[in-house]
Amino acid sequence: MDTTQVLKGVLDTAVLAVLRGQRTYGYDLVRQLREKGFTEVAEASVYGTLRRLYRAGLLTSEIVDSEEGPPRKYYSLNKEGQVELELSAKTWNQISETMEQILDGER
Amino acid sequence: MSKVMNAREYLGQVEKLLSDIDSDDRASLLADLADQLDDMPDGEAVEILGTPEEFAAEYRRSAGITHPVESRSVSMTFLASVVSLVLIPIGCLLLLSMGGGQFLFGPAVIVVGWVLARVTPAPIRLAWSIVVGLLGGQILLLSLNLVFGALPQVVAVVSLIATLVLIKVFWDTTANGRPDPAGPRRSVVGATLVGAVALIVVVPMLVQGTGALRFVLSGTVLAVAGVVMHMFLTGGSGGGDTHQG
Repeated sequence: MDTTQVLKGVLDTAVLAVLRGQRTYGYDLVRQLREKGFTEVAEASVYGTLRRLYRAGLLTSEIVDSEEGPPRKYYSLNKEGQVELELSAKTWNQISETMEQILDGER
Repeated sequence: MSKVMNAREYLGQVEKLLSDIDSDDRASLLADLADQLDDMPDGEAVEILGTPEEFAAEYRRSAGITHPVESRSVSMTFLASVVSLVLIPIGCLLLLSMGGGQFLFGPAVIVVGWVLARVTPAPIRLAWSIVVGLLGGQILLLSLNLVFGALPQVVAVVSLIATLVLIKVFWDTTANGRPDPAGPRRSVVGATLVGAVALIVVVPMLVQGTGALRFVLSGTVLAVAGVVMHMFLTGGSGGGDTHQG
């Protein structure tokens, strides 16, 4: 099974979830996702997803000066992003539950 | 086959490939990417992140950004192609005129060609590259002949090299953020060599006479220039490598 394709499908939700309650920049987000087990998602996918979610109005951003290198753009979840995350989480839980039942052969 | 490239080269290529996206988004991405590359062993960027072309394509896909060629209106590309199909033969006719035509209309055709080639499909862009390269080389040849008429071979060789370089520069500067697949790149190499061979016939005629010695000399120089150009265009990899800007 191609894990990468499965992960791509849930990357939006994962990014929103990581950004809940904190602000961070792209590379740090990549690192956090890796630490949480998303080891097979391409970095470019994460950066692209971040940009798309921001353009969709689910994130706010601010430029923060960096001690090393150029200023960084930090992202955080806004109200719309929180609503989207709740909806996505609900959908994911439903799918997950259904899949568990199917795989366990209870239906 | 992956090409070893350092962090700076990798960033430069990604920047070039995403030159059409919002500048803030690009700057933000490059800052993050630079951080990431700093944490990697030097020379392993391609192995870990994929080629710059793959990285840029994946970024576009996940960000929902269509490629500049895709986002450009079909009508604009179509119009530019039609105008090109009219102007390219005119450029060819200018190549056949022996003097005034190139000086009068050549620069205008080159400028218009550059603008059009940036939005036309690869085959038309390729045709423009060849015509503009030859036209520029001819203008230079005629200009140098006026000034250094006593050194015909030197003038011819300089003009020839200028022609080859012009074809390459024109092709590269009209990419407009579009990645070049190996096919068209090989076509540029082929077209450059064909243009060079065509000049074998033209050069001796323009250096006062068609003596066998001059012909052989021109041919030898062209052959060497062709090999150098081939290596220049393909990075010495035989033309199949797509790691280029």
